[in-house]
Amino acid sequence: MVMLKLFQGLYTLFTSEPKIAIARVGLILLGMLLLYGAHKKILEGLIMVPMGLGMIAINASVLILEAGQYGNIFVAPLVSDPNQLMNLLQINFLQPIYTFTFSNGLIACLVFMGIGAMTDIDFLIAKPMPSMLLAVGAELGSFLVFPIALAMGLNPGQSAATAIIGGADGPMVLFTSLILAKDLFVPIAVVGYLYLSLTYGIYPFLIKWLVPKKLRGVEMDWRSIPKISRGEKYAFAAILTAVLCLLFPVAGPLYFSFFVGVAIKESDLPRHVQFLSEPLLYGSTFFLGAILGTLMNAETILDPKVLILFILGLLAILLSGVGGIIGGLIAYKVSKGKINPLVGLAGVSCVPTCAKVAQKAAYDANKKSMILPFAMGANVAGVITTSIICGIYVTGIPLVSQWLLH
Amino acid sequence: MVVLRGLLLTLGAIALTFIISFLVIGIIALMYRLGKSNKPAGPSK
Repeated sequence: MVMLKLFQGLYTLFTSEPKIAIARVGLILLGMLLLYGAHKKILEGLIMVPMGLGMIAINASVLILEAGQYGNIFVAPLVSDPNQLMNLLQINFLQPIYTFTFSNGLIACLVFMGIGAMTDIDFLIAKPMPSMLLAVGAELGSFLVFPIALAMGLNPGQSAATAIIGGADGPMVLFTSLILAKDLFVPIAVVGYLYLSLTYGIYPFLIKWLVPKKLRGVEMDWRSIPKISRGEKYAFAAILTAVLCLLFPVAGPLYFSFFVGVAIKESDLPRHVQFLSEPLLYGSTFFLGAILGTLMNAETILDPKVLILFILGLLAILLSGVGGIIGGLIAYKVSKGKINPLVGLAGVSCVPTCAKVAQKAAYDANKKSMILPFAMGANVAGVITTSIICGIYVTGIPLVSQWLLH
Repeated sequence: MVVLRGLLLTLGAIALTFIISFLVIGIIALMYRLGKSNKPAGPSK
């Protein structure tokens, strides 16, 4: 055993409680599975590569700290004492990034700036009614999972933060859980991002199951989309930021971040666009994945609520997909066959994954079916509706939680 | 009881989301109209 103390990762594995040791080994294997999924393109590599490797490293490199306690020198998320935090900032190598960008939601906002700078809002402005209504339909999971989570024993804040996984928007999940469920934000964020990466894998099956091939291949005339000027899009970003911030100031940082990206894209500042959509977005996404992975240690996963989160997260994502498809089928009927039902699925706001999934399914059914511009409209509307629901939850839950639990 | 109240809250959230979505649609429609009416007229025939 003394010899084993030289290799502290192994020593702590053999001397910790059996359930902790098993969880550590399980998480190392899960990290490898995530890396495999990313390598095979089943999962989103941008997040899953740093996250999977982070999970492996954090669970393998448990060492003996002062006073014989077991811990790591990566990050300590639950420290609040200023003196202890100052010490840890000089020891844990990821602590500065966690403390200054993660625990205040900054990293979610940086990702949102990048997404805004990449987002095309032409179709949303040209056809706001179908885009927004389809997007509301595709929020079914964000709505229905809230009472289900309450029934499963989560508190109102945790229920809302879990339900927002149905919006399929990573930064929004992070932001909501940081504000409403700080004690569970690590597992909620990890579950959220895990399922977001799975939309590539899950939604094509949902489409095949719910939409007949004939309807999947419905052609839409993208040449009929009117040209929207840069000025109109610029003004849209400014006015909507003001309106949404007036309604829900708590979610103001998210609204600002998304629309500043849109405004910069439309104000013809190519270097700024490149900065937001490349180094800032990819750098933030990389550190987001790395931090999420290193937060996924054995103590976190052994919380009994994590299993509930896994079930509810999957339910939220599936319900939102079903809601989007039902909305799409209604739009197909109402428009007398002019709207491809798959546009409804793109209302799930995982930009641009859901729009691409819808386009691929349409193309597989009919090689002439080009629905991407329409799908992007619903997709962007989905970002806006998810941010509205995020605002409602973040502002409303603290106001009504006493009444809810009384 | 908590679940029932949660359901009520969910219905409220759905209604509020619809209202705000229509507000967004209204803003876009208004801007679109203003944008069109401010465009310079084309050459007279």
